[in-house]
Amino acid sequence: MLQEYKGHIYGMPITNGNIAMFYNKALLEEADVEVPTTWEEFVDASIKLTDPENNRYALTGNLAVEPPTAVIYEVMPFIVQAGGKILEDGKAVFNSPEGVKGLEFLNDLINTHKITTPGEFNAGEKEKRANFSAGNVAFMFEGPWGVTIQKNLNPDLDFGIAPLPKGEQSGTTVQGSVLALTSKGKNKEAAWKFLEFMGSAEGQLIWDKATGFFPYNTKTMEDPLFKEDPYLSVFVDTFKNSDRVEVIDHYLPDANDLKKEFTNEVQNYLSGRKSAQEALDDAASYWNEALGK
Amino acid sequence: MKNNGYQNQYFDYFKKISFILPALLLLLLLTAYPLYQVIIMSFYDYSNTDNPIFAGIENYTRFFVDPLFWKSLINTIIFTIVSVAFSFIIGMTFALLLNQQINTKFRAVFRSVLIFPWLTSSTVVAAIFMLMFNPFGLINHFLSMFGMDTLAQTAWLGNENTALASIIIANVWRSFPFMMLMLLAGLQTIPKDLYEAAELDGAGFFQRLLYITIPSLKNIILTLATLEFIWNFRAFDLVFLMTGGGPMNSTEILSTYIYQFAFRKLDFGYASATALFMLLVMVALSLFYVRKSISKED
Repeated sequence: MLQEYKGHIYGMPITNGNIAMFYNKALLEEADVEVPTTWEEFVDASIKLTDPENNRYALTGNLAVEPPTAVIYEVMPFIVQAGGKILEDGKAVFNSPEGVKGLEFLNDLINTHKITTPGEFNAGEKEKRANFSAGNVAFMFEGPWGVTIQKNLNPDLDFGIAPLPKGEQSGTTVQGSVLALTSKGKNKEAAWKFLEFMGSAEGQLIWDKATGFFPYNTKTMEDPLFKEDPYLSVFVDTFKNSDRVEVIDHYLPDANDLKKEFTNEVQNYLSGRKSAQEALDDAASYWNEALGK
Repeated sequence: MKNNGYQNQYFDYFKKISFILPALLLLLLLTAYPLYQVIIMSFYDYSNTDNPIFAGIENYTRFFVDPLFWKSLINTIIFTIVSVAFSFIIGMTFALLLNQQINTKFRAVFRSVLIFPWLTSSTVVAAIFMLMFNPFGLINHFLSMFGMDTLAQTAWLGNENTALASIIIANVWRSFPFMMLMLLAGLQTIPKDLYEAAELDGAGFFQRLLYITIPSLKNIILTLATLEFIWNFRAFDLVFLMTGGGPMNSTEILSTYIYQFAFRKLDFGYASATALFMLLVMVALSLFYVRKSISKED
């Protein structure tokens, strides 16, 4: 397990991925809609793109609790776009009026406009990617890692990537991986050297070229590998130019557990058991208890 | 042998022990030691995994007040009872059908076909049923074919009212063949003349079932029921694969609940305490089974 250094646990961010919107070019053309840039445009486009008779939807509704990975990029960006924050000074602050607004927008998409695939409580990322590659849905919120996945799932799919639609502000969330030293490591000197190298622009470029990951180091992002790629350049752009970019995963002590709890509360809200405020309050108090340990 | 009676007896005893010794050692190593570890761990607080702190019975008092624990327990009981009941009814029906005076080749073919679900690995069962229960899946397709359009919108695994029932259906599908096979074996040992005599006396199908078949199968049924109770009570794979305990914990059972604490929250102490509670229930069930099988030997 991790040891604290002066009351904190440290890690070196290695990979990163902010969330953008993938869209199916053929479906958008067919419905004669432009790539949406705001919430209103997104709702309008989605309504036009949804046709349940033909199993066609705008978005995959995915809020499965196992694995609970989807909330970070299916739900939290809405809160950020509504003007809210997820974390501030090591505390969960998403139970704000903006948080409520973000969840209400999601509720509108699922329950009012019904533009998402049914069965949202048991669908996850796998379903999301399958639906998108099969052309069942027009949009997908996904990170840079999804580019390779889509190309493998359906090489013939003509898709584009655009920044997430803007609400009160433009915003996205980030998740990625960090490297850390263990207190029981045998050769800490060598491990630290490796960590330093992996944090550097050069190290991350080698790693990303080999694995298709996206860097955390903004210098690495300047490389033509990212800058000139029609897909990846969108992520560089949104990472640098969004009104708010929230890095979440890196700060969670027990990310899977916290995400699961958050997912459960979102489900409680969407099924009408709790109000948005109650659900967010309960999730926030659970998060803060874990963050305060 | 030249030895006197006492030595002979001693040697005999030693010989017996030496035969079971390897198995006994393995059992101790693989069962008793982990159990001992779990008991020890259940008294510790694992907030800091490196340095667990002795916590007395705190872990045990915690789960008694956790509503999710009670919900998991109730779900486990529902899952177990409904699964065993339905797989027994379906297994018994097929066993009776296969036991009719039919062509032996025909019977062999059907027996093999019906055993298929039981041979299928649980990951495959989960994948098949997840596709069928999908909102766009086979089940909703059939429902809309018969005009039940609103019902055909159901996300069977994504709805808290239908998720547990859906998993139970998959579980029954997987477990009825074992019941069928055992009951069929039992049915074939019942002498035919019992039925003939009953028929002469004018006994109908249900009277024969009630007064001949079931009493003759009593021991097999009890053994099967106990085994199935134990197996279903500790089920994990289908639930974890199909819903992971969701939506909104509506399919959380004890094993997924324990998994959550042990491997997601890394709260080994609490998970151990809960696992021991589950073990106690299973031991109680097993004792019933062991007593039954001993009384049969006598």
